[in-house]
Amino acid sequence: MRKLLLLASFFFVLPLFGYTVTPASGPAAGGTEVTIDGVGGFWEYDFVYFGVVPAASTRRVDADTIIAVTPPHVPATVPVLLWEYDIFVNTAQTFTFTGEVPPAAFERLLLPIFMPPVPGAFGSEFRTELSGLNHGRDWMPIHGLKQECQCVPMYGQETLRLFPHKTLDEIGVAYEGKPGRFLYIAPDQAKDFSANLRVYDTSRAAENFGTEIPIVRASAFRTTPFALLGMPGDPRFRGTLRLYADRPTTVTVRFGNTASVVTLHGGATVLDPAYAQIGNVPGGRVIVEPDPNGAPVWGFISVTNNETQHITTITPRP
Amino acid sequence: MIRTLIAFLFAALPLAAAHIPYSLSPASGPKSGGTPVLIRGAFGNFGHAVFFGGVRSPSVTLLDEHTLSAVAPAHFGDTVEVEVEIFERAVQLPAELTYTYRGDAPLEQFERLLLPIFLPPIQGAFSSEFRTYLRLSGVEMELFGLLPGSTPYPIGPFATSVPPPNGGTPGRFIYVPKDRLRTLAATLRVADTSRSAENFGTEIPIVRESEFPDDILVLHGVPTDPRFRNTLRIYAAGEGNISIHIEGESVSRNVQLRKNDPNDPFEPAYGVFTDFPFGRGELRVTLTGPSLRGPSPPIYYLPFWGFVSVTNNETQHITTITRQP
Repeated sequence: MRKLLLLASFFFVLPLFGYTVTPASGPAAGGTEVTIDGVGGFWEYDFVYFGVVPAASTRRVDADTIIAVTPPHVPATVPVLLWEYDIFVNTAQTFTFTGEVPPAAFERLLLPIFMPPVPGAFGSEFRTELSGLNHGRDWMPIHGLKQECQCVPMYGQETLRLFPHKTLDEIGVAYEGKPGRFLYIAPDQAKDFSANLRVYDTSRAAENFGTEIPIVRASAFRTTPFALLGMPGDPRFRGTLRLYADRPTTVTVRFGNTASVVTLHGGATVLDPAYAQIGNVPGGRVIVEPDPNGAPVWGFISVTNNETQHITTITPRP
Repeated sequence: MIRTLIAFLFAALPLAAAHIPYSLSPASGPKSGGTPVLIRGAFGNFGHAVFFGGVRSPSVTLLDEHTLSAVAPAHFGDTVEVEVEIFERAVQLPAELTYTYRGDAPLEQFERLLLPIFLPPIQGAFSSEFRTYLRLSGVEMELFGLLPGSTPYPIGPFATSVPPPNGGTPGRFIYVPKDRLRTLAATLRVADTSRSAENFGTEIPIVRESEFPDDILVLHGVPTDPRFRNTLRIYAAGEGNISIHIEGESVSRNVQLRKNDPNDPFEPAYGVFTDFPFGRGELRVTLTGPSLRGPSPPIYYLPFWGFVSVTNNETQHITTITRQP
């Protein structure tokens, strides 16, 4: 921890001079020209960051003025930083990205289960583990992940920057899903991100490595009906149907001859999926019919043994 | 009742109307289908369905009471029987009415899916018996690869349990008509029947062809705890060599993917790797295809896919580690 603080202080310097940022807000789609005036002056090679995301472009007008174009960013208020050679300078100013997430600007990924440790029956404790790697050449901002360490002010944001050929394990992430989480990565970088998501019961770690949970692309969400097959009717197992969307919507869920209308309630931010869950899923086939005029939906069933707490997933395939 | 009676009467037509010769023209066409085929005989003025080797023609037109025009569907078979149904009852046609499919397998008309594990029951340690369970449902369609040879497997809206074939490599390619793929629901699971009271088994992904990278595939979090054993299974449509790099090691290993029958579209080329280290925490495993290892630009692409199954040596619980997202 001490080494991390020293490293952070080397890269991050508090402002010695006053800066102004105009305007102080703009659309999440980016493209806003922001003028940054600084009494202390700017180096020729200064570059602007909005949180951990570099500006789309930076232009030094004169010794006291820089103009930066905002990048696409999820709605958030972020610090405006200057990168000078090898050090971050905090302008002590912020910029607020407003409006909706521009769909074309990001690849959206769903982490269906992304929760802090949850105690369960029979002394169980379910943990979520996300492993990931940036195997590209550039720094990769990942919106929706927060670094566990809060040792540097900008690390309090909901966007994490993953260095080339570095892993999430080396950084440490905060698990704050409810229960799921949306991540947003620039499309040209998403192909360089590989990951794995697992839930496991720490009390049974000697017997069972846990259950892999799929990480779901936006393209897998459906506006047409889909079926989940093979839910056991054995009373030794309990099934939970979990449904996700990017905004509040309704679906019709059919268990055999029974149909129910279920509402997915929206999360507080674009990082939180709209969500609904149905417990005690009966055996057989489950059909989920999204509202054709509503949001695309994805869902899966977790089948849990009531005694051993072992989890099996039933996900929409292929 | 009336429909059944009418169907019975038409089923008997070949005897009653023996003077109308049954014929089929043309008697051959490409495996990709699309050829309009004229079938002459006694058909009346009722609704008809025509099947080529068990696969329904996508379009049937009654030109007159003696002539049907049916578009040959795509098919993996060679010479197949042609069957006509009236009111869902088959009309017995002369046995020599067959249609011959020529040329290459109709890959363009189908989406290829990989079933990574699709085996008959396997005995394991501690009296375990691993079984594979495949369930399918969808709008009526015929799939290829679930039965031996090029025999199609029909499915419908009600879930069907499909038994695995005997022998062969662990995986299987199946082929789904592209225009029906969106309606297909499937689930694949392996489970230890000796422990069915404790756990429902492990879902195995069903993998689309589009999910096969040709360059790099990374698998995260492979444990090296000696209480678990890892099996890396790799699949491709054709034979080739995949390089494996385990995090922390200075050299890469190679796995050769092989097929028993190079011409069998249902058998994946397959290779397996189990020589993982112990006692080094959770590791990253990187698979690299030949396109990244040869000259630039690459002259040889081999789309491949792989996953690790992590099995507890005592409980036989299985966890999968697959490529995400």
